Amino acid sequence: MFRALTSARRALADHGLIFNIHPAPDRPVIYCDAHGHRQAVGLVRGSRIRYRNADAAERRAVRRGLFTLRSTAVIPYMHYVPSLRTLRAYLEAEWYGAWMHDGTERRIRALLGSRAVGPLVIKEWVRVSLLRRR
Amino acid sequence: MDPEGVELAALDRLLPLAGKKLLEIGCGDGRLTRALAERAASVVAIDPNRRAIVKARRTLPARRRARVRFDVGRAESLPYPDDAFDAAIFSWSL
Repeated sequence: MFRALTSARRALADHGLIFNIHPAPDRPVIYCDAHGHRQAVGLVRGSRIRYRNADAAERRAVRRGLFTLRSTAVIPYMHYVPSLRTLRAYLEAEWYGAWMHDGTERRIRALLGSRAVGPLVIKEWVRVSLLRRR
Repeated sequence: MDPEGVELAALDRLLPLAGKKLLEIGCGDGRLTRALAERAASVVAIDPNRRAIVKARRTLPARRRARVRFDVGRAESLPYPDDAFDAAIFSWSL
C-alpha cells in the first residue's frame, strides 16, 4: 500500500493531488426497514485489517514527507439490498471474507417474514482524504 | 453501488476535476471511470484484473473514448512517466 502511494507520487506533477476513499475500519451495521422504522439488526463481520493498513500507509507517507494531508473526513455510505438472499449474495460477491451471524438472519426474518423479502440497508463508514504531493 | 452518489459528491467537493489529467488506480470494471470522464480533461485508468479492463473498455460510451485510456497493471509499479498527471484517485483500491 505504501509502495502504491510512492508509485503514484512519481506519476504526479508537482503539487499533484491524491484523492483516496476507502472503508473505515469500523464494522458496517445492517438495518432492516420494517413497520415504518429502520432498525439495526446486526453487523457485517469479517476482518477489516486491510483498511487499517491502508490508513497506516497513508500516515506513513505523510510522516515521511512525501505528501501533506489537505483534508480528511469520515462519511456514511449506504448499500441498499432488497432481500436477505440478495444481501447474502452481495456480501459473498463484493465483500471479501464478510459474513453475518445466524442471529442477524433470525432478526431479519422476524421483521420481514420467513422469505425475508424487504428493504435492507448496510451502513458503512468510509474515510475520504486528499493528499498533496510535496 | 453508491446510489446516493456519496463518492462523487466527496470527489466534487475536494477535488475539482475540470481540465485535469487524471490517473485512476484500481479502476476495476470502470464504474467510476465513466463518471470521471464526464468531468476531467483526460483519464488513464489502470487495474491488475485483465477481465475487468476488458469490461471497462467495452462499457465506456463511445463519446468518451477519445479522453479515456484503460491499462492493465499494478499500483506498485505504474508504467507512466514522471509528472504525467495532475491528480490520482484510489477508490476502494489502496
